[in-house]
Parts: sequence; C-alpha cells; structure tokens
Amino acid sequence: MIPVLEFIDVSHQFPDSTLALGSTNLQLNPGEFVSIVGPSGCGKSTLLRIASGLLEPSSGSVIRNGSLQFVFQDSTLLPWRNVRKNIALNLELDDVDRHEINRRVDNVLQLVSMQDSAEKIPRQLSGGMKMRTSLARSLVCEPDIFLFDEPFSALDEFSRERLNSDLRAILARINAASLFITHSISEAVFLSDRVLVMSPRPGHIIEEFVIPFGSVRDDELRYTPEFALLTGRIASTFRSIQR
Amino acid sequence: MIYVRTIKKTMVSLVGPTAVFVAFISAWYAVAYSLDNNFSPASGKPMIVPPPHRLFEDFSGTVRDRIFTALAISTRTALTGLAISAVLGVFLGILMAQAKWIERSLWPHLIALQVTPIIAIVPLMIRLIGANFTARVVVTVIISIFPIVSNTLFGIQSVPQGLRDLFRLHNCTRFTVLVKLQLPYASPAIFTGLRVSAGLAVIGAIVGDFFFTRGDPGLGQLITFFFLNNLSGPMFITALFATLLGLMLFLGFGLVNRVVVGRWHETSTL
Repeated sequence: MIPVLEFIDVSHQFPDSTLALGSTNLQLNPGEFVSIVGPSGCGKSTLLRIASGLLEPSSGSVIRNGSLQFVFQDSTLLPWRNVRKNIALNLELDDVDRHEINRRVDNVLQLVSMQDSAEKIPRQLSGGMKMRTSLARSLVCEPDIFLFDEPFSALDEFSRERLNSDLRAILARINAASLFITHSISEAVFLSDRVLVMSPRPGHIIEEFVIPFGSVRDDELRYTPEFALLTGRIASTFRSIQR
Repeated sequence: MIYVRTIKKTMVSLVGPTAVFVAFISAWYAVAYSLDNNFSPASGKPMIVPPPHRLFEDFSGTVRDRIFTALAISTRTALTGLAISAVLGVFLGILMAQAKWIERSLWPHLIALQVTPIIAIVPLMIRLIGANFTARVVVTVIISIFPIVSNTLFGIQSVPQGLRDLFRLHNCTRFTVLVKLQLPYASPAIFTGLRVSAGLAVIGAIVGDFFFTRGDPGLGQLITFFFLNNLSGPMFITALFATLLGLMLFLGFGLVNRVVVGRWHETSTL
C-alpha cells in the first residue's frame, strides 16, 4: 500500500535555533485515521504545518500522494459570509465550476446536518456549529488527506463528543486519511486507528498504539473497560515522558 | 420582559443625549445673559454671543445667500478632499501592508505629515499652487488622509493567521487574497477611519479657508468676515452649518458602513 503522506527523517529548526521537531518518520495510509498526542510545545502543530506545506522542513523529506485539506484550531470562517458561502470558499479558490460548487455544498450541508443553518452568518452560530461548518468546508473538497490541528479543543465536552462521533461516522463513509492533533487522549482513542505519542521538545514519535475497535464506533465505546484500559496505557506513557 | 427592556434601552439612548443638550443650551443662555456689553445699547442686538432663540434673527437676504454659497464651496472642498483621501489612503494602506520595508519607508513620512501644523503648510501651498480650490483640497487631503491609511493598514494586518494560512494553502494570488480576504476583513476598520476623516475633511476645508484669505470664500472666510463686522448671529449660524456638514458626512459614512459591512460586525451601527 502506498502511503498518502510520508515523513522521512523530517526535522525542523526555527530561525532562533530552537529545534522544534526532532528527526521524525511517519506514514499515513489511505483511509487511515492517525492521532498525535504529546505535551504542549513538543512540535505537534509544526509537524502538521510541515505536512500541509505551510512550513518547509529544515531537513528530511515529505511525500504527499494526494490532495489535502487543513482543519484549523479556530473555525477560520469568513465572518461576512453565510454558512453556505463559507463552505463554498475552498472550491471557489480552486476555481471549481459554480454548478458543481452548489451541488457539492448541498450534499455536504446534508452530511453535516446543517441544512437549516445554511443562511446564517458565523456570529449567529454556536462554537460547535462553527466547527461543523469549518469541517464541511474541508469535506466539500473531497480530499485524500485531512489535517486536523486540535479542531475541537475550544468546545465544551458535550459538543466535542458529539462532533467526535459525527466525524467518525462521516469519515467512515469516505475513504480519506486523517492526521489529527489533540491534547485529549480519549478523543484520540475514540477517533483513531493508530495513536502516536510525541516526546517533549524537540518532539519526535516515541510510541505507537494500535486501536483495535474497528471502523464503526458508537458513543458507548467510551464507557467500555477496553477503552478505559487503552486510554490509561497511553496516559501512563504520556505521564512518564513528562517527568 | 422584552418590552420593558426595550423601553429601558430607548430611555437610556434618549435621556442621556437630551440631558446633555439641555445642559448645553442652558449654559449658552447663561453665557449670553451674563456677559457684559453682549447687547448693543442702541439696537438691543447681540454683539458677542446671541442667545439661542435670537440666533436666526439676521438669517435672511444677503446673509443667507452668502452662507449657502460658502457652505456649497466648503462642502465641495471637503467632499473632493475626502474622496481623494479615501482613494489614496486605502491605496497607501494596502501598499504598506504588502511588505514590512514599504511600511517602514512610508510610515515616518505619514506621521510627519500628520503632525505638521496646517499653518506651516498653507504659505507653501499658496506659493506652489496659488490660493485656489486645488490648494484648499490639498490642505484637506493632508489633514484627513492619516486615519484612512492607518486604519486600512491596521485592518489588513488584523487578519488572523489561520485565515491567511487557509488562502496560502490554495496558492492564491496577492490580488485574490486582497479582494476576497483582506479588504472585506479590514472594511469595518476602514469605515471607522473614513468616519474620522470625514470630520477632519470638514475641519481641513474650513481651517484652510481661514488661512487662505483669498479666492471664493468658504465657511472659514465667512466666519472671519462676520466676526470682523460684529455680526455675531450670522457668525454662529455659519459655525452651526459647519458642524452640520461634519455631522452629515459622519452619519453618511455610518450609513454606508451599515450597507457595506452589514450585520456581520458589531461596529456596523450608526
């Protein structure tokens, strides 16, 4: 299987000589969901920016085999555009035909259950709805790779769990790969096929956990002993590297 | 409950301005009737400060025509200056936002222009251009351009990093980023600058007029004329029209802001 995204000995040093990312090797396969957890400032976001092409690595190489979409920590919606036009933005920037944009936006609005809010502007939406719109704006491009930079970190627990479930269900329907940065171990376990743990700065991947829960996951999974056990194991690794 | 809240809100927005207006008029009366020699012993006409109810006593015939002519001249000067300031100011703001070196090159000169007293510029304008309409417009532009440049620059630089990254990921041209992201995002700040500049343009048109002393008299020259001829009533009316002109431009831009920016930004209210 050819990975859709591959890091080969990638490292990054900031202009002030801070080594933000140590030598990192990573493979993301088609349709796979991989989460990265690690302490604050370990280089998770740097890794994601390098993956997207927003940042050039100081050394090593990144191979991308497919189109990608970035879902930011903030919803990054244009405040003067309504939900429908915000979702259409990425397609407009890629010069997609107007009829095709309308068709795809209608489909995605249905997919993220936002048909009733299509004409609302961002200031009329809750935090969860804004993030849902941001997600829809990426989904509408039908990319091969999604890059998520802590997209649900600003949400309350209830909205976060709901969006986790919805994201898992949506991604199960399309064959896209996802690289997901998060601080929440339970979120990483619920969403992922693999969870990678990063060391403190200069960050590099120190441990990998394979999540054996299959592709269809319901909310009850979070309350099973297996889920708690796996979350505990990752948390234990996390604690040991922070000492 | 909502009904009570609406009444309360209306009361707050009405009572405050009305109270200040009543206090202002009362103070005006107090000053008018407490000044020594304010009224001519022969005709009883106010000499220095006319009380509000006697303000329009001489507002007829030639006086009225002269005020309206001067108002038209000052309005034309202010609007022309403001239009040039708006176009040039937004252009300079956009230009300065393109690169740090452009911003650093232009910024000190704009500050210098902003802090230079107008009295120091007028003689130079008369020598270079003459005491004509163009010179008055140039003075108006010099006075009113700074808020537009600084607000345009500030608005563009306030675009969040995430939004800039989003456009970068699509390899957008500078023009696309400007038109689809930077200018719409900066529009509330640009309109705030335009509203401030609208007031300054009126000040520029009138204050410049004071110093030119030649050419067609605008409101500034007319105020000087009424002052020198002890016509305090017409002098106050002329000042009142100058205030109204500034106020109309300020409210006008508030209205345009509301239409252009719409409901997405909290500043889009009058």
